[in-house]
Formats: sequence, C-alpha cells, structure tokens
Amino acid sequence: MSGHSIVTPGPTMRARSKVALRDNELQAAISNLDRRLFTARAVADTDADTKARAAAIRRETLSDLDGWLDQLQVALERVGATVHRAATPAGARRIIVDIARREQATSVIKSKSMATEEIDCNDALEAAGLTVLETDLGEYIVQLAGERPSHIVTPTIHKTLPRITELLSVEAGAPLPEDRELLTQFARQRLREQMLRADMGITGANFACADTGTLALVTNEGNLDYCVTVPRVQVALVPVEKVIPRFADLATFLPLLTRSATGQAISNYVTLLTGPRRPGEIDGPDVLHVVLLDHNRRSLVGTPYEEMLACIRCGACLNVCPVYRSVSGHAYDSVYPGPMGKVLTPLLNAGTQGRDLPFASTLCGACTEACPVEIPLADLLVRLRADLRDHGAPNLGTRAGEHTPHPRTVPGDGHPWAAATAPLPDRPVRARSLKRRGFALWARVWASPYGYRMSTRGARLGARLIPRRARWHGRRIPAPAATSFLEQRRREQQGSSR
Amino acid sequence: MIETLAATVERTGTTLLGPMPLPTAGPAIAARTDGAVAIPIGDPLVDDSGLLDALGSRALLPDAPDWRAQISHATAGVTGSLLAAADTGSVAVAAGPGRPRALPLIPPHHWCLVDVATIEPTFADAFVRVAATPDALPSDLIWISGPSRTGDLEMVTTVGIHGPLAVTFVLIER
Repeated sequence: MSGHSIVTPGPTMRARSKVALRDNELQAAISNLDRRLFTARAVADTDADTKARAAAIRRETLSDLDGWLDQLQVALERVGATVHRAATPAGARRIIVDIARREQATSVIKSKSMATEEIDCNDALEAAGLTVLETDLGEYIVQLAGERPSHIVTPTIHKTLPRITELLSVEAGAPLPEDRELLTQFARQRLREQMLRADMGITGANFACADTGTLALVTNEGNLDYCVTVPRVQVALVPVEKVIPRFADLATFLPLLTRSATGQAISNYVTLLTGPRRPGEIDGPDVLHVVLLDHNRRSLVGTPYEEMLACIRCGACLNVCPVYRSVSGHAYDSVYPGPMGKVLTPLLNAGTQGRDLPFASTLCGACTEACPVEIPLADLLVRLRADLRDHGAPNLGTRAGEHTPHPRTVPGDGHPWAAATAPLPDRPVRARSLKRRGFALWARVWASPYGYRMSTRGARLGARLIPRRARWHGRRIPAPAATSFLEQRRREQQGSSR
Repeated sequence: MIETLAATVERTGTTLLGPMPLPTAGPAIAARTDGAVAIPIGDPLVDDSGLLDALGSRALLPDAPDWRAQISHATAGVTGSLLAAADTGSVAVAAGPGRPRALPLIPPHHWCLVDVATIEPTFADAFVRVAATPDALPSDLIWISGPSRTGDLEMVTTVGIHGPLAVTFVLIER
C-alpha cells in the first residue's frame, strides 16, 4: 500500500504554507526550481503565431468537445483500441481494475500521468492485489517515499539529493553514494529488471488525435516506451480535454508543450501510438484500452470556466508563481498544485475540495503571462473567489448561449486583468470599519500629486529603517530603490532628448 | 543541413558517423560493436547496409525463437529512420513487422541509419511530412533526440536512465 501522506501538514493552505516556509530543507529543494525560470522566457519568446494558433485550436476543440470525443472514439476503435468512458474517478478505477482482472495481469508498470494521480489509480490496483511500479525516476522516488508528486512536470522538486539518496539506499539495502550518475544507474538497473517482467502498462496521454486515434506522449527517460513495448496489455487514461482535432495539430502542440515545460525544443522522446500491436509485430501490447475520464470537465463547457480545459499541463504557471515558488506543491494538498491547480481543483470537485486554494494567490498575473495557451488564470481565480463566497461552489449556471466566450488576455498587453469582462457582484455595504476609513484616507492623499509624492518619499525613508535581514511571511523585504520610478523616467527622457 | 544537425547533436549528446555510402554502413557498425546486436528485417536502409553479413553470428534477428529473452542482453540495437530534423537532432523511427519497438529502446547503444536526403530543417517540417499521410501511421512512431535523460535529481540533467546510454546517427549518402 503506497498511501499518500502529505509532507506539509495542516488543515488549510494558509497553515500548510506557514509550515512550508519554516522548512529549511524544503526551501533549499524548491530553490532548484529557479533552474526552470527560463521556461517563462521560452514561452515569451515563442512566436505569437504559434501561441495564437495553439490557443485557437484548443478553443475550437472546446466549442464541440462531445463531437470531437465521438470522432476520437470512432478513430480509436478503427485502429483496434477499446474505448471506455468514465464519468468519475471511482468509475475509472473500476474500469482499470476490471481490465487487470480480465487480462489476469499481476504486475503493472506506469509511466508518469497526473490523471492516474487524480483517480488514485495505484491504491485501487494495489488493493486488488497487483504490484504497481512507477517508472519515471521522479515518480519512482515519490512512490518510494509514499508521497504525491509536488509538481506536475518535475515530481520530486521538493526533495534534495541527500533525501533522494536515503530513499534509494533503503531500496538498495545498502548506502548509495550521493552522486547523480550512480543513483541514476542504480535506478536504471532496478527498474529495468521489473519493467522487463511486467504484463500491464498504464500510461496517460498528452494529446489524443480525433482523426487518426493517435495518442501522443512526450518523455525524456524512455520509461514510457518500456510501458508500451514489454507488457501485453496497455491502458491509457485520457482526460477528455486531451482530445485535439487533427494529427497535424501536433506539429503546433508538441514543440510548444516541451518548450513551455522544460525549455527543450522537443522532448527526448515523442511517442505516437496508433492502436495496439499489429499482425506480424513481435512486441507492443496485444490490447490497448483507452479510458476517457470526465470528472466534471464536460460540465464546464459553455461556462466561463471552460478556459481551464485548454490547459496542456506544461507547468509554466507553477514555475513562475510566487506562491508556488515559496511553499512548493504539497502545501496545496491537491493533485494539481500551483495556479492551474488552484483553478482546476475546485472545478473538478464542484467546490468540495480545495475551497481555500483560489484565495491563496497574490493575483500578480504571472501565471496568466506564462501560459502558452492564453488561459486567463488570474481572471478565473477572481471569478472562483466570488462564486465560492456567494454560491459556495463554482457557478456553472451560465450555459451556452448566455455565455460569450472569454476574450483572451494577450501576454504583455498591459494589466493582466485588463480583459476581465464580467464585473464582480457588488459587495454588501458594510459599516465604515477602520479598514474602510484607512482606504478612504489613502484615496484622498493619493488623489493629489503632492500628497502622492510626499507619501512615497516618506515610505522610502521609512523602509530604510527596516533591518536588512528582516523577513515577512518568509520573504525578505527588498531594499527600496534610491529614486522613484517617475524620477528615473524623467531623467531618462531628459537624457534621450539631449 | 548536415552542419546544422552536427551542431545540434553536440548539444543533445548524439554521435554522428559519416556521411558514407550505404553498403559501408553495416561493416562500420559491426566494427564498432561487440556482442549481440539486435537488427530489423525488412528495413529498407538496414537491409542494404551489409550489416547482417558483417555481424555474422552476432546478429540478433526478430525471427529468432528466443528473441524476447535475448533482446535484454544485446549490446546494441540498429534501426533505420523515416526522417530527421536538423534543428532538434531528432530521428523518426517506425515500428512494424520485422522492426520491433524494442530495437531503439532496450539495448544500451542505439545505432540509427539516416539517409541525408531525408533530413528536414526543422522538427515542424519533418512532422508535417509524416502528417501528410495520416492513414499510413505505424502502430508506434517514435521521435528520438538523443540518449535517454532525466532532470528529476534536483533539476540537473543526468544522461542514461531507461533508454539507451548512447545514440549514434550513421549518415548515409546515396
């Protein structure tokens, strides 16, 4: 039984965040994510045409999701796959366990898949008496630790090399050296023995093509290819929004996904699977079962929240999020962490889980800018906050016809919420609290240029009094600039006019 | 195009051999390998490369009765390729009858024959050529861009996790 103990304990995201900020080891591990900061640059540098094209194809799919799913099913069946539809995670678990029983499988190898995390696939299979092995190195380490992945692309971002060495040493039965090459070689040998014996492979899919029935998967390690080469049964768990209209669209999506996820022009392996093994072929699965998972996703179509279904799971929004980069994934206590997780989790669970997540955001809009398919994440967070406050759940009442498609925020185009359309419902007028009076005074002072200048000058002087090493909510307070932005700009303009 | 590919594989960790005429490619691979080498049957590039003769009893063919037991002991796997992309250093390898999925995956060294006439400037160009015939897709079409790698140990790339530890593209000039 692997179980999923949460590493960062606490009843709320706020409580867990406090623990995470005090955890020096976690802070050291999460600082490694700085090595992925350039992915935001990579997204920004991707040509606008590619991003616009990708965003448009995603919305084209959402405009008739059920239609494309029907086409996908026809195409999959044409190439010899068996298609199952699961409305809920429990349904998907039942289908997968049934397949394992019918095929008399005993040993399962898995490639990395967040969808299988979403349905707690491993626990269900182990309860049914099967052995389950995660074969992606990061997922393997997380499985050995009995945890959940803390990042959707790089599952072990919360672990330092000494902790990873400890986990693998326990598995080896002898101390291993703290050396990446040697640890990798150990994992290679250990996993290879088991992969060569497995009789069932479970995979996800990054994209599923409605015209050809092709499943496209990107990896770097080659473990996925073991999962679709050695075992005689393959099960692919595919959330419904993974469908894309045409095989040719992969030319747009594959490079965009890998560049946004890891900065690679293309991942080391791109595997395109069209049906199970064919007559005359001596390896690959005899049967391919594709399980299409809904889990409330289709109910979002036609509502403002359908934008979230455009997500391609690149993780770029996690890498740039100031909250994620401070507390790491386990503080969210949800399968999907970070900005996309804060939106997706309450939507998938109709507000029964992750209710506090949309509030754990600075609304800085970095996620919106980083998103390669133009999902207005900050807008969706604001909308969720209002819905959770007023309705206790995401309001999916606005159906097709009433809902006009959300205009997309163009990255770099001014304020990240500039495109927000629907105004938030008016708040009930409350008594004049101290807070309201404070804001009113602030508004009055900043209404005059003189008041503004004096107050910012005073704030700059005051900020110098804060000790250099002071921390607030775990973050160091930056030293104020010597001159204000307006002054700097004035000087620059004088300089250039000369 | 070959220059671009050469510059790319410097980054991705693939080795280039050639360009050379097809009939010399087989002997060149045989001379650089030891032990059992897994090869396909019916691959247009590999069949005419003289590899089978050069390897002699070292060749592991997919019709061998104990192929499944032998493949994990092969020291190298050889495949042809449909297409290559110069900007990403990728090759497209199709599985099929006589061309097992395991060849570019399970042996520790993957040798891939690449006809220089099939090298496209970009991944997207190469992909579009595959997409032009969507009805002819094989059961498994894999794009390989170098030896297997992982970033799971503190975000530092480590080469040689599950797939091959080394990849060599043998460029063929006809």
